Amino acid sequence: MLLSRTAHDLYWLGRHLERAEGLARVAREQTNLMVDLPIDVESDWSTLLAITGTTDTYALRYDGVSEAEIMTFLLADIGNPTSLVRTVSAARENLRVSRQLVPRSAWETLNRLHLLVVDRTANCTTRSARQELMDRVVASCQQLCGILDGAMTRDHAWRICQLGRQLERADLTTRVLDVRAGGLMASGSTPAQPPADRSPYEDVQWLGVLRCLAAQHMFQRATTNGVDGPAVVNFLLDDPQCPRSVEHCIDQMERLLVELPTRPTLLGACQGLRSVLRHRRSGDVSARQLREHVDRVQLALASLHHVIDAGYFSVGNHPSRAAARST
Amino acid sequence: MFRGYRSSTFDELFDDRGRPRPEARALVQHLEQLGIDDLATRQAAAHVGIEAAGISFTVYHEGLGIDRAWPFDIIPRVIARREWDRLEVGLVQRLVAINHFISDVYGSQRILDAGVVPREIIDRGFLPECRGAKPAHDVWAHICGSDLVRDRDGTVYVLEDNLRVPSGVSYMLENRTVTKRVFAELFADQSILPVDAYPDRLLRILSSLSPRPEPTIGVLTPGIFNSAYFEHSFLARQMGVELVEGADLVVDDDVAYLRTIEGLVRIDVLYRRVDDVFIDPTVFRPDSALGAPGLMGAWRAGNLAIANAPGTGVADDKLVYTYVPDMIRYYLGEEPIIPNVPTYRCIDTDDCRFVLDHLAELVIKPVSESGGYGIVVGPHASSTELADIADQIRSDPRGYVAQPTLALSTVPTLCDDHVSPRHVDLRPFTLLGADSYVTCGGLTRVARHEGSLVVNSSQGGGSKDTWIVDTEAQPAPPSSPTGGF
Repeated sequence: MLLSRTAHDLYWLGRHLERAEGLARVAREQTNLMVDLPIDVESDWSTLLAITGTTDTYALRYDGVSEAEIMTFLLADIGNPTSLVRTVSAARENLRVSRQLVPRSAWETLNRLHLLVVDRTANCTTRSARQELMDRVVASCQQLCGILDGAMTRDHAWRICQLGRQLERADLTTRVLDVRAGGLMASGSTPAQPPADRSPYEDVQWLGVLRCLAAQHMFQRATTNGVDGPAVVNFLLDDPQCPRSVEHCIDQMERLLVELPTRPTLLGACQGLRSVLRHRRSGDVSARQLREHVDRVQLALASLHHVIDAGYFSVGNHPSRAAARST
Repeated sequence: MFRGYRSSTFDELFDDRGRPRPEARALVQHLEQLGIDDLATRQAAAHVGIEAAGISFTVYHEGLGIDRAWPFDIIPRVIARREWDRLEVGLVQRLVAINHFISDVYGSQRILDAGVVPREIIDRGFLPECRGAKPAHDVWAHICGSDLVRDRDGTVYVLEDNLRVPSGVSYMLENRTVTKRVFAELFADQSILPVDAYPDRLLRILSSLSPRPEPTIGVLTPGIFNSAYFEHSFLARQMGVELVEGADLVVDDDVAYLRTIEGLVRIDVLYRRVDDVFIDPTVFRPDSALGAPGLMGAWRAGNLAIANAPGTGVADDKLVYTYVPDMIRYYLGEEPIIPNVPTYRCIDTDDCRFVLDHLAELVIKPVSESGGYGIVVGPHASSTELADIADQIRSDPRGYVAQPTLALSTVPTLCDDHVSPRHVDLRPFTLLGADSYVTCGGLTRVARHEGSLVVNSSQGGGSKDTWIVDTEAQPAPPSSPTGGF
């Protein structure tokens, strides 16, 4: 049995944990990339704002677009609802009201992560301190998910939390593709060009895209042709085995939904998402086509979120006698 | 470490000649070997552990709820098992008599007719809606958290019976977990009774309240903003039951349901941690969102068990408390094993005159508050405070009782770089259903400042682990087949 109210918190626990890990990873890889790029290539930290969907919020709060300002905004600013510190706090609040359902060590790990993030994000002014902190945040999120995966009964509580994680993960993959891959395709060479003619920094950037989704190594294992834009895009959208691909996330969500209490609208929305994802001609490789496609996937993800919300979290607001008696 | 340690009253670890009591000997010896620096290091480690584990309570300050780490002092309080065995029997005796009283008051009212307890004093906390109800086992108060204190001469008294929603048991359990970690060696050399059976015993009692096999059980919490939310969550988790808020409940046709992702699921037992009058807004306070409409109907129809039962508050009144020894004699034909603190009833004209004449020596308590609110400690009060309380007593004599200021016993407590005596009380938890259970010890609460008698955590008090030590237990032979893997 799982209370609708608690289910809501577990779902958001999954989302917030995945979001925190993703944010730390994206911030870390952006810094790595900046270290690799030559000093004459203009540093563009504002792609981080685009990925996190915070460009407008940021503009209201800051004047410049320096590394320090953007990082402060993304990691430490409590005025930014999606900052790392706010995301980890939100996860902790979600777990505070659902901790009776998870292993004790999960709560302790999240609590320690919260203390770390509150204590450290505001004053990590050097890149190395920040990278070290991001390493710890990523490791801590992974530890927490490991505890949930390794010790929690596969009941509705676990499934709902997983559902949140998978949805958030698919969302992050599409955001990174939208901003980074879309940008690269717009500025970069066409795939017809032989590799020798391409800028050496383009490969680095495609690798960065893979790395911030923890998918570089798996991509390299899956292909023998080296890094090239369309292959990376295909891999991150459609690979059935890479755990960060949108296809794989949909697969996982569908399995979870089959085992969760049946709601026809939910499976329908999940299948709808899959058909949107599949509706892409292999020749569609231009930046504009990619962005349009990713936009459609994001809309389908959002509508899946809404039916999950309506289907599970507001159950019983209108108690039906027939439903009540049958249980 | 203890050189120069001197208590002005009864000390729980040392006798009046400064020698460790037999049950505390091993502890004192160990502490002296450690030395003050090592002890301080372990205290700091314990605090870090408490923070990391998120063991907290919420205090309210200027409208803001602040989640504070649970205050814990590393030096345990020790009680000899022989003494504890007697107190345990006394606590059960008391709770049994109180239950007879509640059942009687909502039933035939024999004790009132007999004039043993005056009819006019059951006016507060009495809920007419509960008359004629028949809870399982005829038990109304299943969980009681009495406050025990020890006076200068070593006598243990019951200071209060907390029957509404007593809290603290989770901290008792967490204190032991922390102590086991920092003093692991000590548990090997002596017999300290374990405390962790409580959640299981509570679960059994809750489960026995429903006639249905494998009943669905929930802890009803007012929510995250309640100061004891940590405990509600802790108990739900330890018992493996649902943690429920009012909004999760819906009552249809006198049956209570939970709103779950599978739809409505019937609930059979609620361990409620909201006060009597918040249980059902259609019956009691219409402004309350802490309970749910219809819960009282489901309870009266016998479809939902509620612990403690609605109406229990009638016995959680400091004036009714003064009659508990009479209840024990009346219902059980026994003498009370643990005495009450002598108490003056301001409703009685002679007592009231005495109280008003001796305000500066007495502790004045409003009868229906809990958590230490509204208490005036005469010797520590200003003349304005005394004048105010005198006015309040004159206008509402029913609303006040007074007790002599007891010299609460002390326990050595780590204060920065030295050990100093601090006053303590003890809150054991007693369970009653088809059978009874008393926690091994309880939560020892400790005042923060030297000489202070205020131990409530909401007022800055701390806590200690409580050891019931069996000095007569023989150490197990090395190859003992029992215990462990």
